Amino acid sequence: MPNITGHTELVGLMAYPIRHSQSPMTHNLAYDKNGDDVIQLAFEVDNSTLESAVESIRALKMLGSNISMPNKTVVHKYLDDVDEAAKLCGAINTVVNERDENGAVTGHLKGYNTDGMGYWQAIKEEGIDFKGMKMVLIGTGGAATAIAVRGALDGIGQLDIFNIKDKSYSRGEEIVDIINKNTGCKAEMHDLADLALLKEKMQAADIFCDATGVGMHPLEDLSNIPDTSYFRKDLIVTDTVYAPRETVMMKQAKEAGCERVYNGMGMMLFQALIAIELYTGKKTPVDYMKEKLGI
Amino acid sequence: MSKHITGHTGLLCLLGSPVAHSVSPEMHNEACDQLGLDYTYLAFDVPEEKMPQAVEGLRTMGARGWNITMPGKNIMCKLADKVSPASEISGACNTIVNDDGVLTAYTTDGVGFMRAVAENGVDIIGKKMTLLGAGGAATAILVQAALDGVAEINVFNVRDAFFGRAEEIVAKLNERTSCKVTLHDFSDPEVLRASIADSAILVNGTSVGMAPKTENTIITDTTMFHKDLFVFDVIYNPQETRLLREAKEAGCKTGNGMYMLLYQGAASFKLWTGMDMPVEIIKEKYFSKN
Repeated sequence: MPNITGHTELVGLMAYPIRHSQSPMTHNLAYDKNGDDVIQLAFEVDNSTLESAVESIRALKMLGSNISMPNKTVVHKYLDDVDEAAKLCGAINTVVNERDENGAVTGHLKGYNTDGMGYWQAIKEEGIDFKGMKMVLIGTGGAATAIAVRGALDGIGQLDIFNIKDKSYSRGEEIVDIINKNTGCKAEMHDLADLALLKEKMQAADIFCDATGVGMHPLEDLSNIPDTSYFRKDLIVTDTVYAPRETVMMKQAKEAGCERVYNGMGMMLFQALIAIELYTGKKTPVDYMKEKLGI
Repeated sequence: MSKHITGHTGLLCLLGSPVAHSVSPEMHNEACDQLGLDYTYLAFDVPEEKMPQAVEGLRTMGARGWNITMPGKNIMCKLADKVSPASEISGACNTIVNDDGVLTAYTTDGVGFMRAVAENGVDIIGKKMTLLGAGGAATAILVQAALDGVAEINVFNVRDAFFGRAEEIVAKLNERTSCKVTLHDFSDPEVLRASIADSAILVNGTSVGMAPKTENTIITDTTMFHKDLFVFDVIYNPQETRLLREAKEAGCKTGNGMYMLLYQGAASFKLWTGMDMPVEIIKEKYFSKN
């Protein structure tokens, strides 16, 4: 492993709290494997310090920075440009210090959302062509909206989003509206309490995603789906949760005979690998990363 | 080493331009590895006009501290919240410590010099020094030596752009320390001869004699040397300048500035971590090729 020298370049991770993030380990494994003299470090940054932290991407000539909560929906204010999907879903998780033709960073910062890209890349890696598919998606948080917008832009045919009528329900309605106006995808927002409708939509769907925190600690004993009868055998079932590796919902799907059931590890890995490619231009060997990260 | 980097790893760094070839990252990363400290030291190429943004970012991102090299040493003093006595007098700093967003400026270049002299087995406290030059390196040496208790310092410089600034620094030192400091015009050889005659140490703080112009020396009249004089040259490329060679021939003990960089780094390291840099290991790994 090469030493860190005066030539080593920095990628940030700006969020709060952040010290326990796995991201630096994932990034540093990849940079090392790719032979790039780059490291990622985490910085405790919240909304009050985000502006100066972003300015330091320019001043320190960093390659860019990952952005996590509570900064994802705010960081666009300090950037020069925002990728279309990130703009539509209103959240950015990757800021790239764009390079000139000689490869030198320019200080021109562009925001991306690789969460949605990562989810769909993980699906593609399973050999699935999702063009024209019908999707049922539970949730209206950051992960859910990123998946919805990216999927709609990339060719999902129909999208039914379910959520409980909490304060984020209206966010779901906004996203549905944005998707219908800006993409060829037909999107609808539904109340998750309407279980008959959920079942009907799931029976007709090709792919299902639970993008809520249900199934993850402290909700690890819960599922949004009442019983196994909701799952058709050939439904592709995904959960954005990766701890635990198998949620109650995933167990239900497998019991119902579903063979294509995936946790959130793929999304997590690919959102990182896509960000890494945006920073360095290098594709990281996927199998190597899966082995090292125990996916 | 990047395999140890996690979300907990703290940042130390060097700011300046150029910085990519600096040995400081290797020196500090090695020291952190040896002591099991969870910091990474990086170098950022930052021109002077970008220093305010760089500093605000490092402050808010919680970097523990940083070194500053040219062209940032003067502006950094103005960007800090608190300034050490040595930095206040010289108007320059090479080290910032960030205590929860409060930045304190220090200069450890002179500390590195004092330690390098002491490592040569020479005690200059309470004695007289003749110092040649008034640039950044010479000023750091001057200020620290006066603060540390050298009794008398005669500074010699040509009447260049540094002369006026040197006059101000000399005035401050005479006011704030018990050291008697006098600034002289280098063009008068008899004043220089008289100063060297009763000095314990002669320091070359200029770049005269540095490679590639190794045939040059700042002291052309070798009769100024006497055997009780310790002659120190901040230059370490070559390791033995013409000045040191001729001083040695005249019976003087000599030393060069090779370890000044190491010791200034060790002093910065101590300010950030509270720990002593394992200098012998660093010498062996990063300074032995010189």
